Amino acid sequence: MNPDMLKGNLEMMLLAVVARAPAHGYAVIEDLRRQSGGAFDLPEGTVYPALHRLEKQGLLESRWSTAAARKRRLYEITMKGAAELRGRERQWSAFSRAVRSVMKEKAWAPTN
Amino acid sequence: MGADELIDAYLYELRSALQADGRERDRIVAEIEDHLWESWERYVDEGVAPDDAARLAIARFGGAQEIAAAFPPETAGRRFARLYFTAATLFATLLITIGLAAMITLPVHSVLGADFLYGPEGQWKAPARFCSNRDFALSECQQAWDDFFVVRAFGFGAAATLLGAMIASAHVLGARYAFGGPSRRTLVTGAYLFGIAAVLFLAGGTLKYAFGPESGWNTWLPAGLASMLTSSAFVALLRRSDDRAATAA
Repeated sequence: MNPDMLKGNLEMMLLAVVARAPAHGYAVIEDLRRQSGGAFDLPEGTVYPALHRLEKQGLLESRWSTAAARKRRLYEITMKGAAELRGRERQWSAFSRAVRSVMKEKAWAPTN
Repeated sequence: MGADELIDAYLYELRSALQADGRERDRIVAEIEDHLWESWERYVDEGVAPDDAARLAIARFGGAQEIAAAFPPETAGRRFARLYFTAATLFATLLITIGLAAMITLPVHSVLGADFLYGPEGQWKAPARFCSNRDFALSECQQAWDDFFVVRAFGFGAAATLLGAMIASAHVLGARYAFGGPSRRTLVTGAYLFGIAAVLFLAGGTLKYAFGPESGWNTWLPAGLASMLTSSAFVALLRRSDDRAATAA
């Protein structure tokens, strides 16, 4: 998949993954890969700056967890983040419907 | 090079390239260290040799320079805020120290002089009234002065300590928000508790001032409230600044 297609929507998908359950960075990446059937197999390091940006916007919050053998940072969605996710999902659905509608016409396809 | 050394070398390069302040940098590096070791464990479980597993984990993660550059850099506003919060916290600590000193090692005026604490002698309303309106012997009047000093010194100490603690709380909360620390929910809970304390402080100070004109609370109260408001405004500005920076990124 073209990485640019993912870039604009990465934050929405990170919010969606974290909204299901609080998770640390590695688990978020694994969920993203698994739920996309391997389509979103991006360089793992790119997820952390995005998580930090979401946290700075108040859409996620994080805390250290010592439940595992190692200290790890758990991310959790905030109320503001949940509202933002709902808004982005609506926008994405409208956009997706519009694209499908245009592509369905297949006016660009060869006619012979 | 073993797995430890490979991962340490990567983290060292990442730390050097990050444009964040010290605390944020520590957090990022700790987070990524956890990620790399988890990734390494996964590869080792799959049968990859330990050193190769470390190389694979690093390769999958991405180049240290590119990853570091993707994190939002520390802004000038944030640097200024760090200085502000540090200075304010030091001031609050000084206030607490003076307050505790006044309460515990009474009377402070014996060391620093009464004028240092209470202003010019003409403003010492209570003892002046006490001594001039009644026909006391000089020794009794002197005793009244001494008692007054003790009460005022203790009151001053308590007020200074409480105010210092409030300022310190506000600024520590602000600083921890700005530079990482508790979750936003903890911060909000702390802010509510601080707000309740400020209201109680305001109500108590107002009552005391209304019914006890010689009280010194009225001079401390505006300073405390101004400090609290400044700190809150700073946090609000930082949040807006962060939102803008994050949106731009």
